[in-house]
Amino acid sequence: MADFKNVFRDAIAAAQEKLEAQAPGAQQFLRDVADAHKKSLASLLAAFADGKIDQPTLESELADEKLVFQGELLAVQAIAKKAAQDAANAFFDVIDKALVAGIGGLL
Amino acid sequence: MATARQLLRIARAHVGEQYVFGAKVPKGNPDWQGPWDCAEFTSWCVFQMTDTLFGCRPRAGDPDTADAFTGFWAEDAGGVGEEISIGQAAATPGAFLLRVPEAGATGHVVISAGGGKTIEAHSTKRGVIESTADGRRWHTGVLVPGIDVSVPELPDPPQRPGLVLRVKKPPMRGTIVKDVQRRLEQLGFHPGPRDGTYGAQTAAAVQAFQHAKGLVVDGEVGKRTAAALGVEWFG
Repeated sequence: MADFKNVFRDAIAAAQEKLEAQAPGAQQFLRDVADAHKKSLASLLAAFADGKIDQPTLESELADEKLVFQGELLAVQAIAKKAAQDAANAFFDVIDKALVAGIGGLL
Repeated sequence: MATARQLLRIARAHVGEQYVFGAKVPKGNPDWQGPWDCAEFTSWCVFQMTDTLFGCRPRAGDPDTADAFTGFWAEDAGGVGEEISIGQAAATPGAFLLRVPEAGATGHVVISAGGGKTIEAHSTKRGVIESTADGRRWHTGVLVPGIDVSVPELPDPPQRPGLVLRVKKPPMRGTIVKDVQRRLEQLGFHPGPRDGTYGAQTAAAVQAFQHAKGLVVDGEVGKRTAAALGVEWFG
């Protein structure tokens, strides 16, 4: 089972890699966007891990989180639409993959 | 053109005044001192600054009888206004943050004071207050024509709210929904069958509960409503 702190760090790294070539100046911004989602993601994952919400509910909530995450990146002129989409996809792919194996250390 | 500073000054002058869910406000009356509801407050402030109705219908009608509503704010945001990201709006004094009304949920609209702060007609219990954008559900940021603002390129976005039970498709399900339904039932509200599905009937019971407790009446269960219900929450 992966620790949430490490999963979150890996998710940021994966997203930053997608932005590196196109918007090197936006790396800190991406980290700020990710940080704004950190507690929220942890609470959603904890609710799922405790059996308080079912899987379709978690997936739907993660999809909403991803849309907001992407929306924040898209608002920045220096970040092209595709780069914003790729970065959001990369970030949430890491979370999704870790979820399959189980994530601990949530709250 | 009005400045963000002027807008915030006029909004702040009403902090502490009364909130009444569904209150109607004569937008043309500069001496109005409440009661307010969220959309009437923001539309009144805009009218005082710009002499133009925003988030109201009829749009070109009598400002004293025009009805302000978060749904009209959503329409005008995508029309005569400009939509910006949530993070940009939270960082921009004079912008607005909007939660769009959805099936089973009432919307909310606030004035951004920048730096993640807000001025808003909040609830019966708290009235018009200064608050923060953090940990709350927003759909979009809005710029209103006639109000001069400076939007930062790389804003610091507000914290996301975590789990918020609400009516959506597919419906939200789980034992936490059952916990909410059980508490509503115990407290004399009627959420429908205790089936662990957050549907329209449960949302209506939540709205009734929120109204009775003076909370923001939005039909959604986040951290604050859960605490008022006595349901253990996450985050």
